[in-house]
Formats: sequence, structure tokens, C-alpha cells
Amino acid sequence: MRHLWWKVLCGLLLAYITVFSLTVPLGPGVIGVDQAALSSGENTRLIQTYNAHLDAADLQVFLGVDDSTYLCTEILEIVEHDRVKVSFTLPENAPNTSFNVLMNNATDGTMFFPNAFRFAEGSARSESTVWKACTVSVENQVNTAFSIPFQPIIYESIRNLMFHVPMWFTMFFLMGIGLVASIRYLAKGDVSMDLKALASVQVGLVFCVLGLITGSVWARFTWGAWWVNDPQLNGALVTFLIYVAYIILRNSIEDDQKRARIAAVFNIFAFVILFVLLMVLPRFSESLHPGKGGNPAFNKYDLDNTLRMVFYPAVIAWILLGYWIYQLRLRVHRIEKKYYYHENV
Amino acid sequence: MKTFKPLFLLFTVMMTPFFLSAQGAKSVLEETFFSSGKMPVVLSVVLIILLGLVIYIALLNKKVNKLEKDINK
Repeated sequence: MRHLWWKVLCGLLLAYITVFSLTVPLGPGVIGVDQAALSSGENTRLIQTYNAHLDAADLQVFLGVDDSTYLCTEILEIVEHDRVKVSFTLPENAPNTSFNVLMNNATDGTMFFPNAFRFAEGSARSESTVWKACTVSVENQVNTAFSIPFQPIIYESIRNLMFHVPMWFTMFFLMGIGLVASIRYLAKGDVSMDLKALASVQVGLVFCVLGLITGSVWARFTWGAWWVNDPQLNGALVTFLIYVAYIILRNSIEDDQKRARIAAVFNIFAFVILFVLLMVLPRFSESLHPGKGGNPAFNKYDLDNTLRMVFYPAVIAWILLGYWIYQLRLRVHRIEKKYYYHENV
Repeated sequence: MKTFKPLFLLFTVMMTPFFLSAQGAKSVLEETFFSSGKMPVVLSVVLIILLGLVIYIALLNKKVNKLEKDINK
């Protein structure tokens, strides 16, 4: 095998990212509460957490009313290690109608669950109401255990970051190869460039399909639908259709040179549209997809240092695998050209 | 292609319960995939990628087979 080293690297990286992303435990977090609606007076609620060690030591539970007001709760009972029963007393009015939950303990650090409770009676937002803020300071403790960050609703499926997202990076990379090859074909009229463009689009489409299907599965179990009307998702689908059109266009032209030239021009436009649909347009509209209203992929809050240790290697690993498959596809094209058309390319 | 038919049928029969709605609020599909912190979602995504790549490599394999046969003729 020629250029063995990067293929070995690809295999090692794939093994590393698979083992890492499937075995490192998910950090602790709050999943939910047994009843969201609150009323004035005493309330008793059960809070469910995930991967937490509530029985460890120094457990504190607060209700975050707004950025500076916290309500202390009394811990009634810790059920096993992941559920806690708390009670608290609410006055008639509150500065806010939705409360967050914050939990501290020595092992897990601070766990935050936004908008855990609704307080309909507090809608008056009367400033005059005496609201007793919790005097205990809420410290933002850090969970020091080596873990993948916990995110509400996503939970363990955050691990898909190392599988679903690099599919699109790989597709981008391969379509980029196609773009360069098409430009070089138009500049020089070199048939081998035409084959490169074709092979890269063919393999890029495989990764595009995998990205669409895995994204759809992920969406079903986080957003609740297989497909949602969203600029990022629809853009990805249109991209897929455009590149399918590239393949169909090629097959519909008989003359070799004409086919290569028209396909090259189409491919350049296709890449421009791909770039606009996936990188430009989602920035200008609201999107469910992570990084809405700004960045279509992710922002600094979605990646922490543990994830970086595996996300970047994952991108490199999948791109190498894509490039490898592309080379195989290209070699088959070359041999076909040589054998059936007696053209050396 | 003939050999795939019974496999496909078996797969469909096996998957049917997942797509049927249960009496409760959540379907069997959701109950399965929401268990153990949505880990089954990761599993299915990994499997889809693996299967997708294997299918593509199998198609490529077929092309190489045909080429080999033509060249050796």
C-alpha cells in the first residue's frame, strides 16, 4: 500500500475517538422535576438528576429566581444517589415567573437546570413584595471528574458530536477537492481532473447522506421530529439534491468533452450554493440547530476542553477515511477509463 | 438481490413494535431510545454510519469485481 502512514493514522484515530466517545462518562446534571407548576405556600418537589452523587456530601439545592436572587430549600430526603426531595415556601409574589434549579455538592460541582419551575401566581412581578433572598452564596463549583459535559435534553447523545458532525466536515472537504479539480479541468482540460471531480462528489454524497440520516435520527430524539423546517436542515437537503443533479447531469450528456466541461461549470456553482446554504444563510435566521443566530455549527459554549480532546481528532479521522475511500473510487474510475476507453489518465 | 428479501422482511418484523404507538404518552420507540440517558441514539448513529460505509464499499467491490472479470477475459 502506498503512503501507508496516514492510513494507519486514520485507523488509530478512529479507534481512539470511538473508544473515547463511547466510554468516557457523562458529567452529572439535572434531568427534571416531578411537577413544574408551583403555588404560594409550602411546596414539596422531587428533583431527578443523572450521573450525580447526591449522597456524597454537602448537598445544597437552590431555586434561582433571577440573576441575583436565590431561594434556599430544605432537603427532606435523598433517594438513592440521583433523586432528592426538597421543600420550600413561596410568598404571594415573586420577581420572576420561572425558576431555575441549582444544585451543589462536593463531588459533582454545580448543576444547573434552567426554567425548572413555573410560578403562575408570581406574574404580578410586584417589586414591593417582600422577597426573602437566600443568604447562602451560590458558588459555582466545578466538577473535576473527567467527563463529557452534561447538556439538558441532549444527555448522552452529545457523543454524536464525534460521529454526526464530522460527516459534514468530510463532505465539505471532498466537495472542496471537487471544486479545485473542476477549476483545474476548466483551466487545463485535463481529463484526470474531471475524474477527480466525479469521484470526490460521489464519495462526498455518501457522507452527505450519512449526515442527513444521522442528523434526522438525532433530531427525532432531541427535537421530537424526524425533520423540522429549519434553514440548516433544508439547506443540507438542497445541497444533497444539487449534487445528485450533478451526477444526473453527467450521465445525460453523451459527448465526453462536453460532459466534462458542463459538469465542471455546474460543480463550481454547486460548491458556491453549498457554501451559501450551509455556512452563510443559517447565520441570518433563527435555527434549532446548535449555534442558532450566529454560528451554524457550534459556539464556544458547546465545546469544552474534554470534548476538544476528541472532537478535533474525530474530524481529522473521518476526513482521512473519506479521502481514502475517494482515492479508491478514483482509482476504479482510472482503470475503467484505461481499459474501456484506452485513455491514460 | 433475492437473498436480501427474507433478511429485509425479518428486519421489518423486528422493528415493527418500535413504530407502533403504545397506550401511554410515549411510544415504544421513544421509551426505547430515551432509556439510559438517550444512549441508544448514539448507538444507532454509529451503526448507521458503519452500515452506510460498508454498503458503499460493497458497491465499490462489485465494480472492481466486474472490472477484474472483464480484464481477465
